[in-house]
Order: sequence, then C-alpha cells, then structure tokens
Amino acid sequence: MITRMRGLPRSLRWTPRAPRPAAPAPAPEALLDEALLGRLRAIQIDLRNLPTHGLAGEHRSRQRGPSPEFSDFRPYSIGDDFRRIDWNAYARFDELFIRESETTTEIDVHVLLDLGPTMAWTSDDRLPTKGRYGLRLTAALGYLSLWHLDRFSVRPLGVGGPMFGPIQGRSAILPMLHYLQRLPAGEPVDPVAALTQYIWHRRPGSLLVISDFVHTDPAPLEAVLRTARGRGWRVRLLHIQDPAEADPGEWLVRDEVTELVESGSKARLTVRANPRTRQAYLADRQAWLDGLGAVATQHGILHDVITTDEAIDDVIIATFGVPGAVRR
Amino acid sequence: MSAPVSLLAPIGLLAAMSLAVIVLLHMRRQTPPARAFPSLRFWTPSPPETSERTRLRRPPLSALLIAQLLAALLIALALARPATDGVLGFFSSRTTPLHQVIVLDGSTSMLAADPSDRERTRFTEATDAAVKALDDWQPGDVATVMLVGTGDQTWSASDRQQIGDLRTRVERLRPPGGQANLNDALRLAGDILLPDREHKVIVVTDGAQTVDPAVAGAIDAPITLRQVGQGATTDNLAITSIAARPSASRNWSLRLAFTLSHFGSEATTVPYTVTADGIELVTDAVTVGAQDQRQIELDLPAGTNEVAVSLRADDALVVDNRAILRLASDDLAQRQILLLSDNPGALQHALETMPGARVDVMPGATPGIKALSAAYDLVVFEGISPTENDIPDVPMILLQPQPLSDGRFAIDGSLSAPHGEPTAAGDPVLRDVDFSGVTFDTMPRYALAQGEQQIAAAREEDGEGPLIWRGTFGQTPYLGLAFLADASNLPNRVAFPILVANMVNALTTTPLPASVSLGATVPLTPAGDVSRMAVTLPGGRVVTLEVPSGEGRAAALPFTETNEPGVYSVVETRANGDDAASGVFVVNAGDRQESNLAPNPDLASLLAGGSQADAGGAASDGVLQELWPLLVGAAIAVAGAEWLLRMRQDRRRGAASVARRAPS
Repeated sequence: MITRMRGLPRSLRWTPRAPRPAAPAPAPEALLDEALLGRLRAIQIDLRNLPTHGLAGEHRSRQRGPSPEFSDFRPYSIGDDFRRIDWNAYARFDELFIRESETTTEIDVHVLLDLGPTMAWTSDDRLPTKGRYGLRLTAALGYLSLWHLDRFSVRPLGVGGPMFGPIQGRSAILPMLHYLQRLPAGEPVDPVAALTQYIWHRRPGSLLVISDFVHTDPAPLEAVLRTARGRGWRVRLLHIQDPAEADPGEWLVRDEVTELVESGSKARLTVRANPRTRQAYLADRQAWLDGLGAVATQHGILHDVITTDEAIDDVIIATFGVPGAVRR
Repeated sequence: MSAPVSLLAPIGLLAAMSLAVIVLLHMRRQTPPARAFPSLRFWTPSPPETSERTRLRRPPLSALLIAQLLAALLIALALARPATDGVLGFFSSRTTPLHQVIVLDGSTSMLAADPSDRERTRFTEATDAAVKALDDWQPGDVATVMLVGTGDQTWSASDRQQIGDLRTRVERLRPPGGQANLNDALRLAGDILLPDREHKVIVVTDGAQTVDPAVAGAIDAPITLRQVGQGATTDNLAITSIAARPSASRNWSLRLAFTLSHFGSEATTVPYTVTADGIELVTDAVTVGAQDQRQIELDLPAGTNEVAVSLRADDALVVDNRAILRLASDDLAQRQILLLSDNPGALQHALETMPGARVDVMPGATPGIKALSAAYDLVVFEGISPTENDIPDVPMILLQPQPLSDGRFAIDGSLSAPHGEPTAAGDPVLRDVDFSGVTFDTMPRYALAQGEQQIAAAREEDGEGPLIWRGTFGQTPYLGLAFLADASNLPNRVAFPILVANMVNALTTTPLPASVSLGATVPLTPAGDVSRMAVTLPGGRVVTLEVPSGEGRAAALPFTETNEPGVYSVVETRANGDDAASGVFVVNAGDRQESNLAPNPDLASLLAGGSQADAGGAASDGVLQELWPLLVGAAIAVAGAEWLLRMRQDRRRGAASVARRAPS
C-alpha cells in the first residue's frame, strides 16, 4: 500500500503487528517475471499532470491536428489552415468546415535511481533490499514507458558509467532490462545534488526520483524542487522504505542492547530496544517525513512512500495508473 | 521394599556440573550484537547502565537458559542410569536378561468362541496374547512357549531369528484339545527356567482350570495370569457321554444311552437328532435345567454300526454338540484269541468278556498249531502243551502244561491244597488280583527252567512251587499257570477275570480304542509285517506313520493328531503294498470338565501361591527397567525446543541482512 504523506502518523503503540504477508520472492536472475509483465501491459497511464511531446507515442492527446485519424468537423475561422477545409462539405452545405483529426503523444520519462549503500539493506531475508526493489520498480516503469512508445531514460545514482537512454520503442525493452540487471552497488550519493545537476542538462519531462532519502533534509529539497518546477519538470518522489525502517519494533529484540552500524559511513550507535527508544525513533522519523511531504505539497508534486513488501504492479497502478482504467 | 528408583551408575551425576558451566556462560556480559541500519539519524543513544559494566551479571531467567539447563540435567540423569520396577519401566528397557515362559492352554474349552464371532476362539485370543508377550523380547532374553493340552509341546527361542520363527509358529498353532494339566505344565516351567536370568511365567488360559497352589508357589518366578474369553458367554450344551448296552427288552438289539449336560445359568430346551448309520432315527427336544444334565436312552436297530447324536444349539463351544459311537468291531479293534482246550468253561467265559476279544476254541489235539496261530494275537493252552516242533510264534498262556523234552515245564512233585502268594510285587499280571481265600486242588510242582521267572507261588505246609511264571520260547513270551481253572475256586471269584485280563494285556497289544476324547494320544500297534499305517482324519487329511523295521514285534506308534472330533479310520499296509487290516476309532469332544466354560474364580489366587501372581497382567513383575532411553529422548526433545527458540531469536535479529551489500 502506498502511503501518501499527507495523513496522520502511525500509531505509537508497542504491540506487535499482525504477521506481514510474504512478498512474492523475485527470481534471482530476472527483475520482472512474465506474469508481472502481463499485468503491466494492462495499465493505462494517467497523463493529466505529465508533460507530453511529439506524436510518436500511443497516448491519446487532447490536441487536434493533422492526422489520418478523423475526429470531427468545426466551422472555419480566420487563421485556420485552408488545406484542412473539407470541400465536399462546402459543396453540400455552402459553408466552410475544417476537418479535425485525433493525435497521439508521447511522454519523456526520466528516472533517477539511488543505489547508494543505504539502499542495499533489508531487515528480512524474505524481502528485497531497497535497492533491489528500486531496480524492479524502475524496470517496471521502463517497460511500461517503452511499451507505450514513450521516451525513457535512467540515471543510476552512486554508480559510474553511462546512463541508459533516452530511448524510445519496444525494441529497447530488453536492453533496458539488461542494463538494470548489471548495475552494481553504488557509493554514497546525495540525491538532491544529483537532481539539481540533472534538471539543468535535460529536456524537461516527467522525472521520477527513486531513493530512500535517508540523508535528505526538507530545505535543500525545497530549493531544487522549486528550480525543477520552474524549468517545467514534473517531479515525483518515490520514497522507498523497509518495513523495519517504518517501525523497528519487531526487528529489534526487546530490552536487548544493540549496536547499530550505519550503512555507508559505518558510524556506530548503541541503543536499547525499549518502548521509549522506539517512540522517540518513530516521532523523529515522522517529523522528518512530514517535512518532506510539506515541501512536496508546497510545489504540487507527489511524495509517495513505498514499502518494500508491496507488490510492484500495485504500486504502479496506485502511482501512475488511471483510476479504474486497468485493461485486462 | 526396594527404592522406587535406583541409580546403576551414580558417578554419572558428575555430569551435572555442566549446569554450573551453562549458568556461568549465561552470566557472562556480552558485547552488544552489531546490526546494520540505513541511518542513525532518528535513533537516540542509550549507553549501558552502570550495573551492566561488570563482567558478570545476574543469571538471566530466559527460556533459552532454562531449556539448556533442563537438557543438561536430563543427560546427567541418563548417565547415572536410573532403573525402576515401577510403572515408568513400561517406557524403558530392562537391566538384566529375562527368561520368559509362556504357558498356553490348549484344552478343549479353548475352542469356545462367542456365537457372534465364531472365528475368534479363546485359543486365537491366547495366541495373540502370547505373540504380544513375545514382543517384549530383548537381546539376551530367552522365550519359551509351552502348549498344554492332553500332551505338552515346548519351543524356545533366544535370538531375533528364532523369536521371529517362534512368533510365526505360535500364530499358526492349532489347539490340541483335551484336558490341560496346568500343574504338570508349571512344574515343567519351573524346571526349565535358566538360572542366570530373571524369570517370568505367563499363563494364558480361559480360566476353566485349577492349579495346586503348592506347585505354583514352588516356582521361582512371578506368575502372570492372562485370562482370555472374558466377557463372552459361557453358556454351553454338550453331550458328555455316549454308550450302548444290550437291550433288555429286545433280543439282538442295543440300547443307546447318552448324557446331555447344560452349563448355563437358565434352563433351556434343546433339539437333538440321533442318526444310525446316517439314517435319522429320532429328532426330539429335551429341557435341561441350569447346571444340570439329562440322560436319554433309546433302542437301536439291530446291526447298527455307527450312531451319532447331534444337538442344534447355538452355544459357545460347538465341537461338543455332536458325539459318535462306533458299534461295529473292526480288525484293529479286536484281539483274536485261540483257546485250545478239551474242557473250555470258565476260562473261555473270562476271555470272551474282555472288550474287543474274539475267542476261537479248538480241541487240544488240533494239529498244525503253529500255522494256525498266525491269524491270532494269543494262543491259550489249557492242560496241554505244544509239541516242540509246533510252537506258535505268537504269545501264549499255558495252564498246567505238560513237560517238554528240552526240560521245560518239568515236574518234580506235587502240592496238595496249596494257597497262592504273590512273589513279584508290582508285576502287572497280579495287579488288583487278591488270592486270599482262593483254594487249589492238588497240582504239580513245576521246576522252573533257566530264564523263567516266578510271579506267584503255590505254598503248602511242606513246600512250595511256582503258581504263575513267565518265560520265552526264543522271542515268543508266554505265561505258565500250575493249575487248571476248574481245579480251583478262583473262577468263582472276581480275581479270576482280572487275572485273565492282566495276562492277556501283558502278552498282547492294546487294540484300537472305540472312542477317545479330543486331543488324546492313540497308540497304534502294527502287526509284525506291517510297514506303514495310514490314518484318515475326519476332514479327509491322511497322516501316514512309517513303522520302523526291526526284529520282533513293533512298538506302538503314538498318534497325537486327534484335535478334531469325528471318525478316524486306520489302515495297515504291508511292505508289499497289500492292506493288512483296518479299523476305526472315534474322537468326541464332550467332557464334563472341558465343556464347562465358566472360569475358575480362584485361579488367580491359586497361581499366586500365596503372594506373587499378578492377575491384572501388568508388565512390571519386579524386573528392573532402565530409564535412560526415556531421559535421553526427553533431552533430545528439550534440545530441539532450544534450537527452535534460538532460530527464532536469530531470525528476529535479522543477522543475515548484515552481510547483504549488493542490490541485486
């Protein structure tokens, strides 16, 4: 389930949660399996808040223009291209009509994928790491975009080497999957800095930032989001979290002293797992999430918090799909 | 009384020191486990408290510690090898090898079954109980099974293969029938108990038995009674006797008499049928009271060979509802006697009154006696002697024989009015023979030849001589009497037919019996030239007995397979394949003791012999049983629980996620 960070914080009770349903275990070598691909093809993308370009895509555009696909007639007005006047209609009705056609459009989809050390962590062997989950989410988004003939590009953060794309067409699906599958673990990276750099060097489109944002504060994020909005980017924050990050109550052994080692920096901190510690953790984290959510709301963008035990296709439908418009 | 639990290796308790080691290990202060986490920014540090900075801490009362202590304690106890004779011994193994004797009652009453399930007889239940008892066998044990019927059979096993064979044999056993003598069986069981083992005797019976408590008490082993057939009905009707005698009212006919016994709690009316040579003679019904009997008599047609009586009763024991009486005399059921006498009288009458005896009388001067006697079992000379070249090859009785030229039967005087006195005490010829009051006329005084043995003497005031003696012509035995029957008052006394019968029985073989009870052993005595005897059972099965070859008359062959009621036919076959003689005998199951199926309520206390019996059939019986397998099993279970607990804690800690670095 996607948590839109505009609601109330979770309950702070120390009672154990109901058993979590086991997430479908991904095949070790494949990011997406055939069943998931089939479900993805049935999803219809919501274009309402996305900038579109060109005519190569499959998405129906509100614009009318020259195209073999007839849409409607309208009376001629000054300035219309007289090449589109329907002379047969003029002969019949003695009035000038313009012949309108339906056009399709395409979306520029950009993904910034955080592969830093904090993403290479999971609290439970049965769940994927956040990095793995981000890769699967990126692969699903890439597949969806390329299948609908949108332009797609991926920039992995913390990993050297070339980015993937921009590229268009279904023939790019397999190379895209191979590219993602071969990505190594990355170095620590600041997603805000990477975002700042990216929005100045690319043509604006739909930009999806996939990260756990653990080292991101609301203030610098607000600045870069403002810049991006001004440049015409439609930014969306896909915030990946592990269930134990959301609530470490079950992950730690009660009343046991544990030395926590931070991923990446290797900093250490001794904590005692008791209700007071947990409550403080949850309160601080909730305040931080509220701050990120407020920044996002301020600039009219969506901040989706996704937990790694959620199914990918459910996340895609809830995040990008037209409500009630899944083709089966 | 011994302690409830004994420790066979108390030094094993030293292993209990491991408990202190485990507690110390748990008291050790451990470095907090390190666990990776994406970010520390939301965590509040909580350093160890002052009390936690010492090297040791108070023992934590965790489930893990308790499980480990319990497992160590159980192992320490197991190493001390506790043993008990209590109820816990049921779960464990014995300390010493055991010799277990299972006495299996195979009497006729064990053929009883509840009318609702005829297949499951008391004997089937008994064999099941015996097999179950054999399942307690452990290496080093010896198991002996005694099947007790009219005769006893014993099998022993001491290794796994033999136990398997013995179990198979017991499962296939058929009850021998007859009466089981538990006293003899228990004496035998006491004699065969091996000295270097624990002892245990299990008596598997329906309880319709009695035991001498002195015999049971003399056995150096606890006796366990496993009673079968409990809860099933004991109501039973039986024909417990059947006989025939000459009819007083009709010439040349016989009068049949049979007894119908009812061993039940209420009077009942039972229909019965009498058939003569397979033809229905009478069908009627008779009412018999509870625990009562009725005798029924009826005349049989002249010439009847075989008569059968059947009851139509749906009772517990079926085999005693039918009885057969064989009236015709067959070859093997007769004694053929040749009496050579010029004045047959009392002697002829005494011979003819013997059951199965057929007496032919010929004059004393009959020539060719040797050839003639081949068809007889016995030749009796009264007042004469065989000539030296005409001595029969069959046993002889000679009354006042004439002297022979070889010195045999020499006379050296006479005795006037002597009286008789036994000189060979215990000789079967004189069994139950009383000479008191018996007078003899003047008789010759015989001088016994070498090899002749005096049995009774004739004494007078001036001297004495042999009255009865035995000797042999080569291999042929004979008995000599110094008097003639009509020269004494002996034929007027009851001692005379007894003496004649004793002499005949001493010299001839027993003829085939007309009727025997179920399970009885029948002696089959073959004639001299017979090589094989074939017995056809009521079910049609033929049992062949080979006669061992050798000089002289063959010994009687015991025939024991009389465990089904009905008519058994016997055929003797010579070496050349010709049938020599044939006969028939009948096996009836009805018996006053065996047809009464009610258990003896005192059997358990009688078997106790005062103290030791266990009527409930418990398995302990005072044998120490080791408990270590039970303790080791419990320790393994606790260790398994501890392992699961540990796994659960490890999973919760998620230690495995620390190593995960790569996103794919």
